[in-house]
Formats: sequence, structure tokens, C-alpha cells
Amino acid sequence: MQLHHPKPGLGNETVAMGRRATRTERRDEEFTAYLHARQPSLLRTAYLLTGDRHQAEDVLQTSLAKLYLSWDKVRDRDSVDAYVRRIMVNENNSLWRRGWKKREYATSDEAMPEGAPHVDEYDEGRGAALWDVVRSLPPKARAVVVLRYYEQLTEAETADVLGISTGTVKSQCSRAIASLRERVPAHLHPGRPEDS
Amino acid sequence: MNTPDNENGTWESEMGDEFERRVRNLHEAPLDLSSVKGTAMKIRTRRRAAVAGGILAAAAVLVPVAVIATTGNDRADGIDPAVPSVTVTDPATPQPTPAPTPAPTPPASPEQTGTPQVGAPVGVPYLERAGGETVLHRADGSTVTLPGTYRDAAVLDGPVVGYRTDDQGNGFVDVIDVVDGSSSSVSTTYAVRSAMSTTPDGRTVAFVTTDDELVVYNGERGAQTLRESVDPGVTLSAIVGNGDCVSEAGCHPFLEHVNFEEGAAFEINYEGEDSAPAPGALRVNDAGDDFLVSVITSGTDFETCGGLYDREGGGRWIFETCDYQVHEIAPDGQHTVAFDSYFDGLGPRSFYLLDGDGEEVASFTSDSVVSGVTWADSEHAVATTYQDGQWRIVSLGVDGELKTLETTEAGNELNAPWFLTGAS
Repeated sequence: MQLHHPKPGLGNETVAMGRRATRTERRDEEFTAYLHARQPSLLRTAYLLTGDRHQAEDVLQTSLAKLYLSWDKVRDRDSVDAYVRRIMVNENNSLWRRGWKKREYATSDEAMPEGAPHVDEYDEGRGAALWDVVRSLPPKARAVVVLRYYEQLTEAETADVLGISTGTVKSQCSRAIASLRERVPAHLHPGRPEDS
Repeated sequence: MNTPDNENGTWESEMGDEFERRVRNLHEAPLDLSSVKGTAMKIRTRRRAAVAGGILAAAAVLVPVAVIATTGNDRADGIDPAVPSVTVTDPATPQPTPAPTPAPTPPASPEQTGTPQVGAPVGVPYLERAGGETVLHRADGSTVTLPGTYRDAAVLDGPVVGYRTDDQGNGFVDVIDVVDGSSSSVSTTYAVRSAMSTTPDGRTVAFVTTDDELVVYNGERGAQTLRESVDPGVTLSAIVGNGDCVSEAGCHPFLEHVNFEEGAAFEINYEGEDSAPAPGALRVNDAGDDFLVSVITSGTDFETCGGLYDREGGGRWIFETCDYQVHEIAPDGQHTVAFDSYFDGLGPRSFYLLDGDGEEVASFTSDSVVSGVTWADSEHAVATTYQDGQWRIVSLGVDGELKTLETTEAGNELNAPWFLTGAS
């Protein structure tokens, strides 16, 4: 884990003041280090879970806030990422309750276009078709495929993070692949003669 | 030539590649400590408002509430919403009595990893992981070793039925014959796509096979197929009945849509059309033989609504609430186990015992998570909870009395060493 240099004003005061840091200060310093180290990666996962940049930021903010509240109780620091992933999945699964309201954001040339990926000139639309299918999956199923194929977790690790059985992980992946096979136009399927 | 396995692997690879492409240019860290702390404070305020007494404790706290002084009770009506909830009773003791009160046991020493201190019987059946096997602790304290790592089990008339997954992640329900009272062997195996549910009398289990068949297994009658084709988007929530699927008392499973937006929960009747278990129910958390069901009817921002419904006759609500998620129904129907209306993270930190009016009579709060709750008898609920670096089994009475029955250093906050059979 590479730690970024903390921003001024976030944890440096304890050193500058020359006194022993309080428990809150130590917690804030640890949490800030985690924030800087892992936030970009977590935002990427949140984006893949939600399929929407703005929802991803909201899910990430709520999830990190809940992590902050539990920071002292997550005793195994190696489990923090798994803990946050589970919170993010639960938050994303809860979005349906809120009748998610689309916010109005000022359009700007500088704003990141929604869902604009790097488009390989050889993509031929397969990526877009695949992404559309993934975005249409139920939140729980999408969480499974993101953790398996983006985070590269094993079936057992995915099951642990999500609190489900490995059987459910496997069946959700199978169904996702079946959906892709059915809904992605045939001429865009991988493994066609044109691809070999 | 593209074999099925090759083709699946190709799609998996395509998904991974597309995900990478989608986030390749996303390197931002838009949040700082100040914004995270601000959101955290708002969440803490909401949580405090939702907890009875308005206090979140850092350690296990019992908040006894005076029992509502009404007599001639109106009939009244645990944990991870992902786990189907059915009250389980050990058929060997159909009216279990409260376990003798054990003295709180000291934590297991590191040399006893995976072995909790064994005290008096917990009072409900539970499973303990032991290497590649599972020890089933019966309600009377006796044990039997099951040949696999089971997540749930039911002691039927004769065999034990257990739910497990294998190394490849496939789900199975095993019918296990117990030999000499303590060892066992598997006689029949079903490949399943759902966890199993158990009837309140503990004599019947139900599950959905990988062939989409809804199967009911009863200790006397064996297996019966109740429905041959269950939609892949539908899963099993609970079941009541005596396991005789051709009689009126028979088999009444409750199913739900995995995605609530696709439809409401429904009950399969032994004849006739499917029916709604309660008006507007999305999920049945628990069902009793006395026509009671605890359900979820809606979820809004930071709360879940539902209640306890009496299905007898024309049907009526016993109580409705948006303050709690109502789950396990006590054997006599007079109380229910409930969780906070909204919880997140690892799961609920508290559970509550509600009376016939949906009012709280007792509660328990941990500093981490409550992972499973079930009724030992009509007066006592038993729960597994992570507390101060230990897993514990605790008993909470409707009179507010709290007891610790077992403790262990095994497992960690994300992985419990015990599973209460049939718990919420």
C-alpha cells in the first residue's frame, strides 16, 4: 500500500505541536492515510457497482463515513478493504429504497462525461453492449461480477465479502454470462471467427 | 472450437477487460477527512434517533423496558435480511424448556482455537465449524459430527438435513443418517440454488434445486416436489405446514423476488392460486403455524416498514411498524424478535423483543454485530454476537434478563464460528 503525503492540516499538527497525539488524532491520522491510499481504487469499484459517477461518489462517501464510525472496531487492518466493499455493496443495494432522484448538475466541458471510457478503436461496440447488460443486472448480481472480474476476488473471497454462499456467487456469475450471451448481438460475441 | 467452458472464460475475460477500460481514467479522490466526518456525524445522529433510549453503547448493553401491563394478551405477532428466517424447534423436545443458567464462561485460550468453552446446553441447536467437519450441538447439549461444513441444519424425525457448499461453490442439501447417536453419513444429496427453510415444528425443510424444482423434505414422508419450475429470479423465504403436501394442513412455502422491484412475495398453496402472505408484503421474514407472518412491506430512505400479520380468516394486522424490522415469531406467538429499521455495515448491532402491540420489552446492543437470533422457547431468545474481540452466544428473556451462554476466540468479526440453525 503506497501512502500519499498527507495534506497540510490533516494530521501534521500533532508532530508540529510536539505533544503526544490524542486517540482521536491518531485515529484521524490513520484514517486519512487510508483515505489517500485507497480512495481512488474504492471510487473505481463504486462506479462499477452503481454504473453512475454521481451515485458512486455518494455511495463512497456514505461507506467511508460508516467505516470512520467503526474504525476503532475493525481490529484487523487487513480486513478494512473487505469491510468497506461490503458496506458499499449494501449501500448500493439500498439505493432502490430511496427512489433515487437524479440531481441536476451543471454541464461543463470540464466535467467527466458520464460513463465515457477509453474506447479501443478495435472495440466495435462490444464493450458498450457488454456494459449495458452489466448495468441492467440487479444490484446484487452486479456486485458479484464486479468483485469477481474487476477486483479479481476468488469465489470464496467474494462470498465472504458479500455474506453469501459460494454457490450463490457461482450461480450469479453463470446467469450474468448467460445474459451477455443472450443480449449482446451475435456479431459482437467474443470468439467469433473475425476475432481469431 | 469454442467449448462451453472456454466460452464462459472468454466472457469473463471480456467483462474484466471492459471494467478496466471503464475506470482506466478514474483516479480521483474527491473526499477529504472533513467531508467524511461530516457525513459520519449525520449518520450517528440518525442511528441514535432510531435506537430505543437514544444511546449507542460501546459495550454490550441491556436496556430493559418495563413490560406493558396488559394481561389477556392480544396475540402478538434476528438478522441478516439475506438469511431466510424460520423458527426451529428440536423435534426431540417439541416444547423446549429454558436451559439451566450457566455461569459466564471465560474466553477460550489460544491453544483451544475453534473450541468454545462448553457450558450448560445453549437451548437451541447450533452448528460449530470444526476443520472440514461441523459439530451439530443439539438443544439438549448432545452433539453429532456432520460430514462437511454446513451453514444450516434441521433435526427431522430420524435424519438430519444440512445445507452446505463445496469447494467449487455448488450448494447442496444433504440428508444425513445419524449412526449411534454421534456419528453420521450422507444418504441423499440434492444440488440446490437456495438455502433451505425449516417449518416451525422442525419436521420439514424446503429448498429450490438447481433444476428450479421446489422440493419439500419431511422426516416421515421423504421428498415431495411442490412446484416443478421456480423462476430463477425467485427464491424461498419461509415455509409452514406439516410436510404432507397433499393435505390441507400440508406445505405452504413463501417465496420472494430477489429483486423487490420485480414483484411482491407470494405463498404457494397446495391447491389453488398463489396468494399474498400479507398486504403489500415483499418478503416473509418468519411464519408460524398459527397463521402469523412477519413481513417487510416497504423500504424508504433509512427505514424499513413491515409488521406482524394474522392470515387467519380475512386476515388482519397485529401491528405495523417502521421502527423495526420484525423477524422471528416466538413459539406461542406472543412476542417477536426485531432489528433496527435500518442497518448497514456488517449487519445489525442490536436486536429487540417486541410484545403483541409491537412495543419493546427488552433489547441487546453489541459493539459490532449480531449475526443470528432465534427463540429457545416462548420466553427467551438466543443470539450470536461479536463483542470485545470474541464471539458469544447470549440469551435474552422477555423479562430483560441477559445471560452469556458461550464464548470463543475463534473466528473474526467477518466470520462467525457458530450458526444458529434456522435463525434470522
